[in-house]
Amino acid sequence: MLNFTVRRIFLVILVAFTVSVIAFFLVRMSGDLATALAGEDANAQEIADIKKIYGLDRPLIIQYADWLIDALRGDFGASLYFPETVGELVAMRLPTTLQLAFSGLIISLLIGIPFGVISALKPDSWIDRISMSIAVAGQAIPTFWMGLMLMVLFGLILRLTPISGDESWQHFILPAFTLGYYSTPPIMRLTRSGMLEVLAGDYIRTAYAKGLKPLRVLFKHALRNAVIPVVALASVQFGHMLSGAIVIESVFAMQGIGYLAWESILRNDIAVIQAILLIVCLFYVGLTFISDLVNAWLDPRIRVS
Amino acid sequence: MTPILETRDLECSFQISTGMFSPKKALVAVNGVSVQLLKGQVLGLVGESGCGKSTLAKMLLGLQRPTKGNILFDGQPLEKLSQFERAARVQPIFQDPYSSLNPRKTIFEIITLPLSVHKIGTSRDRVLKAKEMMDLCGLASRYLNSYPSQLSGGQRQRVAIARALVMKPEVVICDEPTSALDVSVQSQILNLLMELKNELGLTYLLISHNLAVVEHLADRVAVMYFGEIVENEDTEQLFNKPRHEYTQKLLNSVLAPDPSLFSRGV
Amino acid sequence: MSNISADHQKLDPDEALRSNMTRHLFRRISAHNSILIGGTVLGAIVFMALFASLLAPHDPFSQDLSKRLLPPFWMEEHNPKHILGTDNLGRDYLSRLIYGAQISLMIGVCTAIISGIIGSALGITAGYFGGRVDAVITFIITTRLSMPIVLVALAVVALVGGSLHAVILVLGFLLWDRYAVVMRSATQQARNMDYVSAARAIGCPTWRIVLSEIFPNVVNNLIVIATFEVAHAILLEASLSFLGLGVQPPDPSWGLMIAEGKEFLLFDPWIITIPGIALSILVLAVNMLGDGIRDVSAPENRN
Ligand SMILES: Nc1ncnc2c1ncn2[C@@H]1O[C@H](COP(=O)(O)OP(=O)(O)OP(=O)(O)O)[C@@H](O)[C@H]1O
Ligand SMILES: [Mg+2]
Repeated sequence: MLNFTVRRIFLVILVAFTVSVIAFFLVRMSGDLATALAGEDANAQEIADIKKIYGLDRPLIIQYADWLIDALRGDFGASLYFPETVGELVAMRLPTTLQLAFSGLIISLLIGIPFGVISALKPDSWIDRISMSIAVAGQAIPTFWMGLMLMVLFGLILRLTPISGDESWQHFILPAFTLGYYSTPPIMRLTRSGMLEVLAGDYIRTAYAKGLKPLRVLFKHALRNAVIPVVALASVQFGHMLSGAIVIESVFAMQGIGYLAWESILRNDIAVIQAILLIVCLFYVGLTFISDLVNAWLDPRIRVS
Repeated sequence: MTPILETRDLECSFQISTGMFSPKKALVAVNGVSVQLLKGQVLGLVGESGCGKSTLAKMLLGLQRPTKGNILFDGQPLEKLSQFERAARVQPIFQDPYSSLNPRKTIFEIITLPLSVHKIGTSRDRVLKAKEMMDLCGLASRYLNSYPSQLSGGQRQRVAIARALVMKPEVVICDEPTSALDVSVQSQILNLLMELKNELGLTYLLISHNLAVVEHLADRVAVMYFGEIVENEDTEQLFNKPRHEYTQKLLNSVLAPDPSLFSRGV
Repeated sequence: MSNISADHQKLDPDEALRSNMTRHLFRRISAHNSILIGGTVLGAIVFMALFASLLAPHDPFSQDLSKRLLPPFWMEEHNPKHILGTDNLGRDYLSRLIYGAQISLMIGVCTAIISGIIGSALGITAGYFGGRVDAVITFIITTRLSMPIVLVALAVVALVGGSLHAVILVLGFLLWDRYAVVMRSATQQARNMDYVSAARAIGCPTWRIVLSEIFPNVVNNLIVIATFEVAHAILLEASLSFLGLGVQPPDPSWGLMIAEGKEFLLFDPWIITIPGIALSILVLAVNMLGDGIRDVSAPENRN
């Protein structure tokens, strides 16, 4: 296990490094930073001056190294549109996104696990079929449209929730549900198949045979074993939610980093895009790492390969 | 008599990594093997599982590069031949006819693959050739356009034999050619192999776990133990007076051979 | 909760076997059903897209500001000439919807083809050659998986400028991971078969082994993944267009129609309902088809 962990850490560092290269060059190619800084109507002399001041006339590799070193220190440069530095901006907006993704995750677990368990206890019953059908159907609904429809229904018609913004916890209900709903089917399926497997195992039979109470067996033994892979999956799903937040935040006008990314992409605010891309990718890498560790801990065969 | 195929101090080792920080270890699968296949004879190769028999066979077929040593074909080093030229001289018959035939191809395509790879003959020639080979191997030609899944295990192995022989190779490497088959079919396939050998003047390397088979079919027997040949003798000599301790153990560990296998007395 | 133990006692072998068989039967039937339903709906949408110029009652681009935001047929004051009403520029909504199917299908199919070629090439190469090649390709896959698609797609589309072609190319170059992962393991399995060794012993060149021995044996995986990736791409295009960085106006992308309708949702919620339902139906049909094909080709592999 230790060996596996060390190997994985190497891989994670390598991937993170590659991702940082991609984040830098991808965004760098997308626009001329000097022109953006100098303004649209700057003349050639002004642009050249800007290039000198900001070091944009140096080789790209050196600029990348500079950027990376600064980024590691938390300094992502300056935004073109906001008075705050990019670091401050991200730090300000990140909590909203994390809260949103976290609530989404909780919702998907709260729906996915119970339905997965029930489906596993009664495979091919009507409740199993219906929950599976809803899961299949739900994945066909575009998130942003689902968000808008919920907004119309609960915000406009029923007036139960706020329509948009992020000022109170009520504002998070609809977006979190929209986000969480999309991650529910995989969690449900994994819980179901995990439970089916565990319930068929010998030691559950033994537990029943010993006369332990069914509920106790279910929660103490079966669910606990079935839920660990779900934890691994949830960690990956959390990453997806951070990325899905771009769409959801722009639907509900929430001031998270997803919304910030969208605004910045539309305005070509390069430093901000780079920072967000890097940060979200690093979250992804880290979360996948956690999930790999959990899975490897569960299944010794993975460690060897 | 010069051997048609000969190995000299052949060695093959695999690099096994045991962990990130521990250095790679070499697993010597075949260690300094020198054997000779005489033209028209059958060399039996026996030894316990994992001793390196298949690895030796793969090297002879060019499927595995030796780490040391030479393979000589008719006195010529085999490395001088391309895989193309080698293919026309040495062909394999594998153990599992369920794995050795591509399930997506017809029997015709499978048997004539060597011809089409080597660009021999027109497509009409190939049909005739395929029919001829099927006839030779005791397979009705109505199976020409069947898929392997429509054939029984024994029929599949006949297809594999037909494919191996279509290029008229001089040496055939049979790696446990019957151990995946039903007992009743085993003897048919073994008989077929021996008939073909006599008819076409083939030379066999016969790898088998079944000592009875080897005793009946092989002219010489090589005993392999942990990658090395510990004894290489005439069959009769070996079975009557095994010299090496391991051979004695091997012979003793085997129950009385199954006489039903050799109804026709090869 | 006594049900659980009752369930449990039921598990005598005969019973288990029978329930297993009915389960398989059920799966078979439902697999065929989902192919039938998914295929029919998808067929209808493809038909609609192919004959859009004949089926659409109006020109999807022609504006008539005097007929802005006419409601659809189920509401009062609707105009019988515009069954699904008109948008904020007075363009016939049904016609835009019909032409929009072209965009979704085009994006779905082209993206699935591009990403299918990239992913299969990578996966088959990794699976066939193994060793270092495999390590490098696995690393590329891992890196790709650690990049959020929407964010990267948005950034790149912003770089090249939003358009149908840009979206197809960007998604095509992003959505290959599942192909690569599946094809890699399928190829690893196939390459250990003796028929590959037999072909090598014949002297068959590597390219020919890959194309004629390996590929036909792994290609069925490709079809199943391709259907799911078509659905994936359609949804992503809609999201990108909704965010203003995909297909550009005046093209009638369904995602863009939802974005354009967004400001009218307060009084005219039908304007986003219609394209959203169209999108969901299309994606559902494709997914059902994919589910069905997967279950029919390998019923044990469900879940
Ligand atoms: N590609 C490989 N990489 C690493 N080790 C290998 C490889 N191929 C074979 N080996 C090892 O080499 C040894 C010899 O294997 P080989 O297949 O030649 O045995 P065998 O005598 O044919 O056994 P069996 O009778 O079971 O077929 C085994 O320990 C095996 O694990
Ligand atoms: Mg072997």
